[in-house]
Amino acid sequence: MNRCPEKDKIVLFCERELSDVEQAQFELHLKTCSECRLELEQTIADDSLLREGVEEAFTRHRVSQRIMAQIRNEKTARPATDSYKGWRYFWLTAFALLTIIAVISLYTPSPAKYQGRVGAIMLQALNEETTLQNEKLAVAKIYNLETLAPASLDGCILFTVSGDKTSVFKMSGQATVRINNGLPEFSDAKATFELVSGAIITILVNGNPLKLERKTMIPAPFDTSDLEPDQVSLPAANVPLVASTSEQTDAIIDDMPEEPCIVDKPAGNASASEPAAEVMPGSDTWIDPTQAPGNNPFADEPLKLDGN
Amino acid sequence: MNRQERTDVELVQAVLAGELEQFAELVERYEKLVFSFLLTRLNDLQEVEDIVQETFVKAFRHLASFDCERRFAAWLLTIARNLLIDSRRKAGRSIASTNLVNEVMLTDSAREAASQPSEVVVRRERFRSIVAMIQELPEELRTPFLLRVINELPYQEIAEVLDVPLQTVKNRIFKAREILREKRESL
Ligand SMILES: [Zn+2]
Repeated sequence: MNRCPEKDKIVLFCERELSDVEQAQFELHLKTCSECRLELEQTIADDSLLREGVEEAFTRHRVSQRIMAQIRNEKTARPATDSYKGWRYFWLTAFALLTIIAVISLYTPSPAKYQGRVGAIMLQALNEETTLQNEKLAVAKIYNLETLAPASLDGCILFTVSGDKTSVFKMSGQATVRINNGLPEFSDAKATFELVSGAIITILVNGNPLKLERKTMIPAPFDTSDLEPDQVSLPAANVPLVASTSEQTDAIIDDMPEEPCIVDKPAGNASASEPAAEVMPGSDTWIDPTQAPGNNPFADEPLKLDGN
Repeated sequence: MNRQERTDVELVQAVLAGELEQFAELVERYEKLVFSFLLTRLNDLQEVEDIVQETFVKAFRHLASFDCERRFAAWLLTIARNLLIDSRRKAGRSIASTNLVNEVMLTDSAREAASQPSEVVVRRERFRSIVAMIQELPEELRTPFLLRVINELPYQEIAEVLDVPLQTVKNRIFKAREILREKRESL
């Protein structure tokens, strides 16, 4: 059976892509060619059947109520104040800062106290033995705590809390983490916490606020009988081992202290299981601040939607 | 002032400024788009529902990171696509074709209630074969075709949503139609 040569125009006709002249010619052809006419009718009928079928399914499977209910329920799920772009720049500057302060002393006068909302809390495993919900966590990847909470963690993890100020601290040990009033809250914690860089931050550990300050290894206020207490060398005698509990818990981030936050090896690591990996230039977990944003492991690059 | 005339960007800014309920308008505008985007890619409608919900919730959580220069719909589809890849990775399987089609038209629609039972069977059978044919299309052809037919979007909008050139969109839709026409002939 010979195929009508005009059939190729059906698609263009359906899509209204024929010129006026071509369209008139094809309409004329349709009057005389039942083959093309049938084909066109079938195409139009199939299109509308597809539309109707999907519309029927959609009507029965709408989730708009569920979406809004979930959004209203999520008190902590306020839209994050940081953009991904912002994160990229943040990490670049954070680690650039780390490089500098690891080498030279910084002096920041008059530490102003800052109280504001925390934008986002990101976490990253610092060694390959770290687990999240009992599954091994990829070292190079950054996770948003908001999408994981409550997250059961075991190992050595770097937390980055960002708001107007940023704080980077390290947890070594076990704990379940969630976000409470914009702050990371650690429960069932058998872990140590250490501020690595950035602003002083108060976190919640086993129900108590814990103030993390520069160059301190702060044992959490829980029974540490199975953990060796840290040999903490304090930069000043008045820096408490355990933060006072009088602080408000709502996202308190103090400004940069007047003395540098030096990243040096902790005198003793209290993590029961794993030695803490150090974020130092040259170590495996060190992030090269000169890395291009595109190659930055912290960059959350969306997939390119190219239809493939 | 007609509130319905607010642009996507204005709605996003309103939500960020605390008008939480304005997000419902964004859901209203794009739920069907996300739904039909996922429909031919998943095993069952429960999964489609879940990922539609996840897509919007995730969009809400990261609303501040939405680049206002982009189209909101394009951003949503990127999120949906990433969630889809995650769910496939978790489930360790790719799309199946039959379950979904069986499910899509299971309940009686008003239209079918008014039809003869034999017509209903024919209609469903036809729908089944159309969806099966569409599922066999390569994704790069399928998505623009579905956006065109189901969502009835103009080429320009499809180009913006998929971030591909206008002519590419046209070519892909024509190509999809050509393939479907050939398949139809061999039915
Ligand atoms: Zn003909």
